[in-house]
Amino acid sequence: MKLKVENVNIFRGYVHACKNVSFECKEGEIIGIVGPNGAGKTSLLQGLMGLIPIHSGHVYLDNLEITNLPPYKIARLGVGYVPEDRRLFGDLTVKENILLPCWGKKVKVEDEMFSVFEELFPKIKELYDKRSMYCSGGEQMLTAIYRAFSSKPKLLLLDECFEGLAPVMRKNIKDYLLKEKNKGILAVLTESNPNFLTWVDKLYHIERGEISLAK
Amino acid sequence: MLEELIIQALYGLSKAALLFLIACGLSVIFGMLNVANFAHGTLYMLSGFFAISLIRMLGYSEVNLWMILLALAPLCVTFVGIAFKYILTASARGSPEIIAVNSLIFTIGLAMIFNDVALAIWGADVYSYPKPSLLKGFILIFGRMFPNYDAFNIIIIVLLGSILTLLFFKTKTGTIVRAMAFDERTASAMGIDTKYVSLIMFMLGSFLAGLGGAIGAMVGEVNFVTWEKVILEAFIVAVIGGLGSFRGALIGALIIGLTESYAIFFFSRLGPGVGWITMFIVLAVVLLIRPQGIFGGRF
Repeated sequence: MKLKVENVNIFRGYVHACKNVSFECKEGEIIGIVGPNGAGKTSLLQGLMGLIPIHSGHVYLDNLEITNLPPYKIARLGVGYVPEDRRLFGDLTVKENILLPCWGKKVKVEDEMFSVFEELFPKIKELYDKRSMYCSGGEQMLTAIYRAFSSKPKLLLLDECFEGLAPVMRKNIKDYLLKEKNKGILAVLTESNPNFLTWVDKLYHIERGEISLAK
Repeated sequence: MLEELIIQALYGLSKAALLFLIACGLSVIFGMLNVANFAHGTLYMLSGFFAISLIRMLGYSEVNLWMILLALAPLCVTFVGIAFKYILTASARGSPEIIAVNSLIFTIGLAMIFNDVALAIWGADVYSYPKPSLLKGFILIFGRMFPNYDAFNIIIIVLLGSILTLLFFKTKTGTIVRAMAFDERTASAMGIDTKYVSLIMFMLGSFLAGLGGAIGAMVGEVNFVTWEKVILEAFIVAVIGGLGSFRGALIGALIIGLTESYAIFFFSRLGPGVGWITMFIVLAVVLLIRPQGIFGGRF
């Protein structure tokens, strides 16, 4: 699978949030996009996910144009998404949150997936039946990350997912992504702190909606 | 005295059944679409009118009465509900604040239009239709006659309450619905076809309102202004329980049904408005203690 973003322009009201953004992400590649708050990182990922409209430009997933498709159709093409503010379904348990994309995308739930999560974060076993609204910020972020991984997506869009995580958890998630990368998964990660993304294949910098290659 | 209190509680449960049928759809639709659908009471009214027209077309047999009551009238109303859904979705544009205000005005207008449509088709007369034989008559509870009709309503609320609770809280489909009610956009990003799910829920809510209308038309009066009283009661129940909450609609209906029944029993000398006074007092108390409603923010 590959992702191609071509001259994408996104507006938030009157604000030109993303200006002619272009980049590519090939199979087995992990891309980082760093920038300060308000730079356009979240707007970009929301646009790729179909959550906000792309004013002009194109997005291709494996030569299929997905520009402005409904979010559920993009998700069903094999895209996993972690929103910036986690956006868990607070009334659902942690386990229900994690399983929801499998049910929504009609993907078979694999029990080994839970073993992988428990290996990365053993404490999650205690949280499965806890309503996510009662979890701590870090627990919610982990749930949001596992929710994105659970349906075995081919493309991951992770918006500031390392924020609020302990260093050991950041390492565990990074190691998991690197392992999945060898299986061909692509990922686009955004962060405000560039120190979190020193290990990615390509690093872009975004500021005031304009993107440039940093590494 | 205890026996009398139990009998009044049973009358309260019977009332709660009708309130739940109309408030459930209203509350869940609000949770999904963030739209306060003032036209929802119209579905209750139309079901009564459809039932009466269907009886005239199909005849007064026992089988027809049951079919109309449990299936045909609610199904007819479901189709109207689908039309409402598409109209509401088309009108729900802009920021959440704009949608909230516009949808309120829009649905009031829709209700007024159907008010006049009902007047044009069925006239200004007041209608009701006969109950099936099984719902006539009484059973004896503590030596007192308790109407079969009210016992039927209690069965309805126990059955439907149980089935819907199982559906929403113990099935994958129910979990998807609850996720959507919590955050529709993120649910879509998780692969859920939210338009399809919201259509199904709109149909379910409309069917329940139609069922309530068909049941209510057997004892109450159906006319072109029935929707006004019904929608006000439904909103009070939904707000008490928490708008957007299925459990809230159930608990709200039980609270209002029971308190109204006891208020009428103890304070009937205050006049015919004692039921309404009680409803508003309960609403005020709940909003003072818990402004979001009993289950506000939770499905």
